[in-house]
Amino acid sequence: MTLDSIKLDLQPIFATVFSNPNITITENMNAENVDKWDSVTHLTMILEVESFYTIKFKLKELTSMKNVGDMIQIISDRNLGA
Amino acid sequence: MDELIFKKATKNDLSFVIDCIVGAEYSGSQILSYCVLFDINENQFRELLAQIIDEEIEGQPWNLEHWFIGSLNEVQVCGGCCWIEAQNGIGSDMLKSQILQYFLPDKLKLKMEELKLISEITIPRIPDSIEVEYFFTHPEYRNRGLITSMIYFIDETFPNRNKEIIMVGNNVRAMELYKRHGYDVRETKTSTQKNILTLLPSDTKVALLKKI
Repeated sequence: MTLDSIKLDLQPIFATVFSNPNITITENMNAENVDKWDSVTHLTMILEVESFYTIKFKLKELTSMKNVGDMIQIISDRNLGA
Repeated sequence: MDELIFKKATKNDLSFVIDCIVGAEYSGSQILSYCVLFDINENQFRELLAQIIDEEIEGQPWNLEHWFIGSLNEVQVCGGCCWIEAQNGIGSDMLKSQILQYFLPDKLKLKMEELKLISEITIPRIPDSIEVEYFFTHPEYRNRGLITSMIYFIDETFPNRNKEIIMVGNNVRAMELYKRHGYDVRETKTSTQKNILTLLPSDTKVALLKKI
């Protein structure tokens, strides 16, 4: 599973969670620069990502995610879809 | 009068810190928001706090590292918490959400509508400011100026940083005290949804800021 393929996976999830069909996933995206990204939409997004990949993030992973790039890296490190 | 001594909290203070969090969360009301929101009782909330505190996650208030305790004659009488907001790049409210998502995922899934209600009056915190939270005095030691002493303690400990307090709007007495000590109202948010009062002690949140 490549970082780019994870980005593609996340695209529709983010479009739905943040109610923005035109949203484009970038590594530096976070609550500071994405409209409607608050603690509630963040929770929804995490739950949707966990559901999509059938994973549960570890607490240390969750509390170290500073942006989407960190999340993509964590998913990749889990070696999912191999 | 006996001398009030402040020290950083240790694991020996865990029970008192949890008392402070629970007492401050009530904010003079009968509502403990986390219990209402997640359908847990106060004891379960206390156990949850102990589990979370044990994880030692920095940058949010459920971490002993960020707590200080005031003692009179070696008796814990007051306590409070402060941290530098978003020092590691993640805001404290986001961290708390992630922590709750980890510990209570199934309950969170069922409570998204209620969380949205609360989110509407959430006031974003200012990165790099000192966030002050959960100032609490043991009921037997109230009206002795201990909260004022804690305010001075924070000012002396962090003389070169702005300080911010985000609180529910019903605690007018505490708000007036903070204003007398240099805090100004930075932002206020009030919910238009009446059922917010089933979740929070007030329909309003207030951000107070003390600039250096």
